[in-house]
Amino acid sequence: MDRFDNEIKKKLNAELMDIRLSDEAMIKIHEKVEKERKFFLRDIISNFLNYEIKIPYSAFIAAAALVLVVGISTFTVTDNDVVGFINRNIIEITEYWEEGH
Amino acid sequence: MNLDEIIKKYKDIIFRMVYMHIGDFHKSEDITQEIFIKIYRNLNKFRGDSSLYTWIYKIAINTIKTHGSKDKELYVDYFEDIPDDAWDESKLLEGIQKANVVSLMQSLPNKYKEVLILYYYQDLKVEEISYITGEPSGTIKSKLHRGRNMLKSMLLKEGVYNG
Repeated sequence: MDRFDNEIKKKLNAELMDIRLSDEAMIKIHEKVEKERKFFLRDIISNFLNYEIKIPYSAFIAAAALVLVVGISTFTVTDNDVVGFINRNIIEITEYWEEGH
Repeated sequence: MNLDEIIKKYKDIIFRMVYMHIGDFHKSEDITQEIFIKIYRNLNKFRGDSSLYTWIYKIAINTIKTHGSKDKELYVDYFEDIPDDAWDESKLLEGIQKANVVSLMQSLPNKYKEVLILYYYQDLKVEEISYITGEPSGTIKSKLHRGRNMLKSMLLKEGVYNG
């Protein structure tokens, strides 16, 4: 830097010294950042859902179907279950007629 | 450095930088806000490949560019390619004292204004300006030379008119 550069630099800094960001603008920045922080949390959840469910959609359906099949196959109806179900309904029906219908 | 520390340290520097580019006080405040929001959004992506201040200035310059106004017309003789040692230094220094340098800078075409502000106000080296603007060092040097000559021409006129 020569003398011209140094003088320009000095004058520029002197002229800009009183130019400052206002307190109102500072408050707005902090408010906006705070709002961004809240959005950031929402974005994390949204991104998670988009990635885990929306993008590998077929994988999600396949997993749900697998859970369903496994669930059904492990649910076994025994003879006792059937007998108990029939007896319970017979009693209810009998009571219904005994009440004079 | 967290965002609060960045805001505290750079708020006036960034605002002045924007103001020199834009000229309008309120619009400059809005753009400064936008810059800090962008810094917040991208802070976790900063890996330290460059210094923090050049990274911040890069975001600032890119944001300013999206709000940039059209260049004002300048007289052709501002573009004269005069060698550095051919200028009358005493008249130039006189011009600097009389002129409002910020206003003169604001009237420069954007491509020169941007480089001169980073060079004179932010006190950056050519390589740093090159990183911020994404232009080769040779281009920055050329812009500095032409921008400086335009500024000198304006300062001489200032000296003549006000002297």
